[in-house]
Amino acid sequence: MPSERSTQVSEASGVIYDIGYQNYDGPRLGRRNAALALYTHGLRGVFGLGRPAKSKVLPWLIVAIMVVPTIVLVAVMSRAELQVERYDFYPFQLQAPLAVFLAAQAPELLSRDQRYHVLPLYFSRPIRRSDYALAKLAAMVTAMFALIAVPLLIYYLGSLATVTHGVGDARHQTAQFALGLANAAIHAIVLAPLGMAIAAFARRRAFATAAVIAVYIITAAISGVLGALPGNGGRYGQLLAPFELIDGVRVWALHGKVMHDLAPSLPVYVAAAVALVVVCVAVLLGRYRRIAA
Amino acid sequence: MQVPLIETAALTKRYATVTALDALTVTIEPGVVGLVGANGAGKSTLVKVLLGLLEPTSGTARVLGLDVQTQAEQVRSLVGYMPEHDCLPPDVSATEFVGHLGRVAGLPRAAARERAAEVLRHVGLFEERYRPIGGYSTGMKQRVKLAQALVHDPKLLLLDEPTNGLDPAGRDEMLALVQRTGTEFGMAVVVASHLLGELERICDHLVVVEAGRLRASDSIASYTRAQQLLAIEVDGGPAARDALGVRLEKLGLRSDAEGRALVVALPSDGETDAVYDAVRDAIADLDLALVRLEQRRHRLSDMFRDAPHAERAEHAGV
Repeated sequence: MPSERSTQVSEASGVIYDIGYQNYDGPRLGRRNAALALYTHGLRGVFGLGRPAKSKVLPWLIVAIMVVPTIVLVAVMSRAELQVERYDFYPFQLQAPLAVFLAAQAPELLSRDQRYHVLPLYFSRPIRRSDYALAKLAAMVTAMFALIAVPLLIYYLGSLATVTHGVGDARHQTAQFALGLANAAIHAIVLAPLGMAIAAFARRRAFATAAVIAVYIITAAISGVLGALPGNGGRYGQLLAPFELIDGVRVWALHGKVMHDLAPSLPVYVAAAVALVVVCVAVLLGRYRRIAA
Repeated sequence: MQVPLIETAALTKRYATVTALDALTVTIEPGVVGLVGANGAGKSTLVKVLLGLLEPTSGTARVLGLDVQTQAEQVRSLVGYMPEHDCLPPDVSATEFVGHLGRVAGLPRAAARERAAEVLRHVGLFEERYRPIGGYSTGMKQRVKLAQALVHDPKLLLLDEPTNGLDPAGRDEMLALVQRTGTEFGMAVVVASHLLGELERICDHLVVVEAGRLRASDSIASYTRAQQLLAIEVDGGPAARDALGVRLEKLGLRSDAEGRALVVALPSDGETDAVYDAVRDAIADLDLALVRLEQRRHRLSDMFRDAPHAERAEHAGV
């Protein structure tokens, strides 16, 4: 009977329209899933993804500063049939944008959640406070690594496509690329914890950024003054300045080219870098263990 | 035997200068439960201790049978929390943020996205959920706060002042939403509020805290039964009213002055005749003119005779 049929249909569609609250009985994953969510959310946030255009300006400007010279380099090199000999000094000339990126985006990851009181929402979920801090740190390490590694990748691929001749040459380029990646990793692993440990204490983004930049400037100044002292000993002042510290590690670990005068004992640079990372991670975790939520 | 929703034993939280919770012992059964007390009575502190956000100074607390200190992560996976204050980042959309928190609460990526869309629809956010939260009205932000508490389908919702900052219409909508959550979604809900009138409307059980201690814990129905009142008004101003009060006292009836009237509690067992007789006799003895004799529907705020003056003033005006 048609009439009965039509009422059935309308009842059914009414039910579909208001399905009511559905309980969730699917899987519930553990802390790893939560940490991964914090990590990807953080990584997206560092580059302003899923945020308004305003948040994208600074990170992508720095990406451009890091990437554009490489593209120019590839273009020039393919015409002139020239090759860059070593990959591991690439970020040396680009310390400033790297430093600005860390100073500006570490607060994006940490200060923002404090300023807007978001932490209670995280800490009332089944994660540990250390999961939060370490996931955010991992996001920053990844972002800084990518910032150095992506231009290297562009150069490497450009070089293979244009001026690399023969298997031996390709092997050499690949080995150099690997060294470049290792150097990128050293930069990311040593610098990120420093920026994050400082940003963790500032609720306001601007204060955090200023504090990170102040640390660069003051440590570089101290290192410069000590370096001017007679003899080699003053050069150990470089251990205080993060970028000079990293350069010592680079020369020692990757047998890299010496760009400026270093203190005589290179392993000291490595020890100091490890100590810096350990202290910064401890400070970061300590801050989040105690912070009120 | 059913596991109590919340069970605390001598729960104490002391700050440097303040004792926020003072040996609080209470058992709360599932339902829509109101947690009422003045500002600073310890409501928010209790909620935070239950979530493991604060360490108690001493005593124990269990939520759904789990110890909040040793099994904090399990507790938190079963609980949804809506904080009292602003807690939303302005530069992400509600969809992105609620989905993200769903994942942090343990849902797989696809499920988190689906649940986020669903709970935002349930709290009444539609197209605007794709815009950054910074542009939302207070009412919309409160809805997002409720949505993030619901996204992982918790067994228990802890809501701290959910109507904070809302206009009267917004309050009504939020209260209706909270009530629906408790009745239709099958969740236990604990609502902390200093506004008794709101809790009275949506809760079926009420826990009263005062200065970190338990003042009362009972079903709304039992408060109602216990609080049948008789209002008596006589001609002759406050002097006559007070004279009647003294006479009633002699006849064994406690009364309270309330505006021009006297209020006497009626016994809950229905034996009200003796009270009416006593009132009649007292008025006749004093030769007063009775203006009004009224058995009043209970009002829960009568419970709080020594509590905030605002509530008494409100009464006096009636």
